[in-house]
Amino acid sequence: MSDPGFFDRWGEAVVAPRRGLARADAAALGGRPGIDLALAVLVAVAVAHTRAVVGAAWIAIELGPRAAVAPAVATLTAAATVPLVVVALAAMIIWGAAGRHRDLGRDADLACVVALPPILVAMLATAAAGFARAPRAALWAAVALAAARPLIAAIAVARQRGGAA
Amino acid sequence: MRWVIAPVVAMCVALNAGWIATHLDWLRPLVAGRAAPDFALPRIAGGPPVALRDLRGQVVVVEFWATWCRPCLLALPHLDAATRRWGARVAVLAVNVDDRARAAALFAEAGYAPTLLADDGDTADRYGVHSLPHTVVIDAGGVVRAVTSRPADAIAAVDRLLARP
Repeated sequence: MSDPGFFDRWGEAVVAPRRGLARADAAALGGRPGIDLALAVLVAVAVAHTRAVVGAAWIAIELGPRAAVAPAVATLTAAATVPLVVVALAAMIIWGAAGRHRDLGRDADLACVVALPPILVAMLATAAAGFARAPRAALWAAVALAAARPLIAAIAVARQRGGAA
Repeated sequence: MRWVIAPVVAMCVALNAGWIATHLDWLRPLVAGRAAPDFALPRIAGGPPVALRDLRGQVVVVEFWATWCRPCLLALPHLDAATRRWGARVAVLAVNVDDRARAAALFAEAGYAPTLLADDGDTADRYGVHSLPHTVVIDAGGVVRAVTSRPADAIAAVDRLLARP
């Protein structure tokens, strides 16, 4: 299997999740999905939470770095909430559905890939919030929709693992 | 597959750039000496909205709080006592940022004197609320005199303002 770059792997999780999940499930790449997820959160901070980043930087310049800690932490928390919730839920679901093929570490890797499409949804919702604020329930419904297809694919990948269980 | 991610990233960047270009003033840190941003927030108990500009001539305390925030709940009795002591000289606005129904029930049960308002989604942002409680003291001329996470400091700041000849 060829080894695409980070943005290609993120795109693959959206349009061809089965392929991306099969790659993520390969033991040789253990841990990389987690790094991809962290990178995706950083991209979300940079391009979707730009207003908050600018605000925190302004506070750091005008009031000092200590004053900017709270807004910086709030920004990071806001960007990480959707992926962390999706990863936690998806890992439990995949682990539960994998039956005798379950493997917590690899199930968590699959869950990290499942969380990549919802990050795109959260990014758009965050960037658009300055102009039109959607209800939180609508955001979470969109996140669930974005996670559904890769989650189903992740369960299939986990159940088809050969060998150890 | 990066073509999937690129348009989303570009859209987020464009939305944020557009917002920042038109709302740069919103990002400026709210510090003592700066004019308080105007707002008109709904009363949770019903009645006409409360607009900051209508309170010109009075000292105003704006307390942002949430029902899940324990330090906020611990501060409310002190703010309530101060509100009663100050009387009509000071308008104390308790702006709830999470759960209107629970906030109303809490205020009704305790009989708190501050005016209970609901955040509109923008005001907390404009007032730089990154952690709770977040208290802003505004003088009779509409200028911010204190921004603090410690309501006791806000009460002391109001007392100093009232003590001025």
